[in-house]
Amino acid sequence: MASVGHELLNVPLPEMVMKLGLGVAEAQRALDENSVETAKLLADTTVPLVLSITQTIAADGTVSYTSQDPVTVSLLQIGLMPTFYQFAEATIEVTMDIKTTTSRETNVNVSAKAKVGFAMWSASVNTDVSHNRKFGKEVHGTSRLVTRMVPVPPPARIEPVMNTVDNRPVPTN
Amino acid sequence: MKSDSAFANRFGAKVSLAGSGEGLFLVIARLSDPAPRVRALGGQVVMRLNGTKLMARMGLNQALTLLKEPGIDKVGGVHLDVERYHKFLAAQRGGGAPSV
Repeated sequence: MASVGHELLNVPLPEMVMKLGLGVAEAQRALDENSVETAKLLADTTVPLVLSITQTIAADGTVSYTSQDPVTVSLLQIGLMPTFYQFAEATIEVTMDIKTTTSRETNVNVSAKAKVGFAMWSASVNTDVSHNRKFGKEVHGTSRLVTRMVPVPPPARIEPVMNTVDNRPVPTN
Repeated sequence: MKSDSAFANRFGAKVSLAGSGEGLFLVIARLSDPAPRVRALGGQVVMRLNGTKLMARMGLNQALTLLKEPGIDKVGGVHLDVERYHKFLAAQRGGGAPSV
């Protein structure tokens, strides 16, 4: 009869761990691809950025505003970065509920025969005893896979270093 | 959040996602303005980029729901690198050429 310990050993834990590992790796790759795609979109999306607005109050009290010419920059340039995620933890929990039952069945068949003839008689008794032992087993199992993801900083070289050379004339006040 | 995919249902599995607050997402629609859909899910439009692109603040669950909607092309998590932003501003205002 299979013991509880044997049943636990039958749990395909190495296979579960392997599949969990492969699943995590596949999910990690999909997450990284999504983040890289987001980075490309952030680099391709440009916005006009007005860096300064000058408020001028005239002698008569009227107020006027002049804005600096907008600078077209990408979202990546101004610091919007894709969020990268990383699997930090993976846990497998296996819970088994094993119920075993044993029953014993005994059958006794007794048959008797007797013959009486001319100056003779005979008798026979046959007994047939059979034992039947039955085993019953119920196994209920549940498994639980838990993964934890954390945001991590983007790779240091996700975008080229930008050098700015500003040749605009210095404003004179 | 509980997700009931066909795959999970077939195996009687329960998939749950526990989010951690709100985040910033780049939302891109194929044709129309995605802002009403973002607001309908409880999100907040932070910056409009053009007619089909915007930055929105919402939870991960809302972002995943939005991604499944027809007409939505991309929902990607982003964050603002404040240090990089300040370096960019300093480079623009100072007229210098620091590395950003």
